[in-house]
Amino acid sequence: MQASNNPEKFVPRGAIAFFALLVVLGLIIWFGIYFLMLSRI
Amino acid sequence: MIDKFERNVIIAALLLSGLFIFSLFYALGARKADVTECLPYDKSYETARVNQIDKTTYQIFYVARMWSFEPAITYIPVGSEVDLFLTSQDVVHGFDIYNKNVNLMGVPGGVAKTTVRFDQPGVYKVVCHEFCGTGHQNMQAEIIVNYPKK
Ligand SMILES: [Cu+2]
Repeated sequence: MQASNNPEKFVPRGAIAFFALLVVLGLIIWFGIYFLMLSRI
Repeated sequence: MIDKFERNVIIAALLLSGLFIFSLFYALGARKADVTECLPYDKSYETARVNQIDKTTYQIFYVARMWSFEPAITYIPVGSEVDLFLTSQDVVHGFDIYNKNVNLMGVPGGVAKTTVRFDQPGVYKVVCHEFCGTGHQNMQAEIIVNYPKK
């Protein structure tokens, strides 16, 4: 594998994808509640 | 030198926090969301009453106790703007108006205040949402907004 040949070029793709999904989930929950509450004003 | 990914995550977190904070100020400013206030307590808040300030402006002084709210039923016209004041005579109670952005705590020795507009006619249920004893599930009140229509 390339990563073991050249540790300087290691890209944590799995961690980046996981982090991005976590952020998207957080956005959905946060803005879901936000717009629900705005609609009740 | 900071790691490239670490730096990107810090930037993303700051941008996201900025977006959330901007949204909060947007709701408070442009959409006029009301934030609950805590007022200095005095004994007069323990007298439940409804004041009519003008045609569509009301004050309701709620007193919570095990296991009821006073006034239990309030009639107001459509389009009313209501200042709600809430205190408790015994333990901590919750105060939630169903389908409205009102969520207060009734604390003995404290006064919570918020403002709410009722633009749709209907019966608005108020429930206690802080467990306060064996009668908790029956603790409720109603705000009746021009209903039944006259
Ligand atoms: Cu209660």
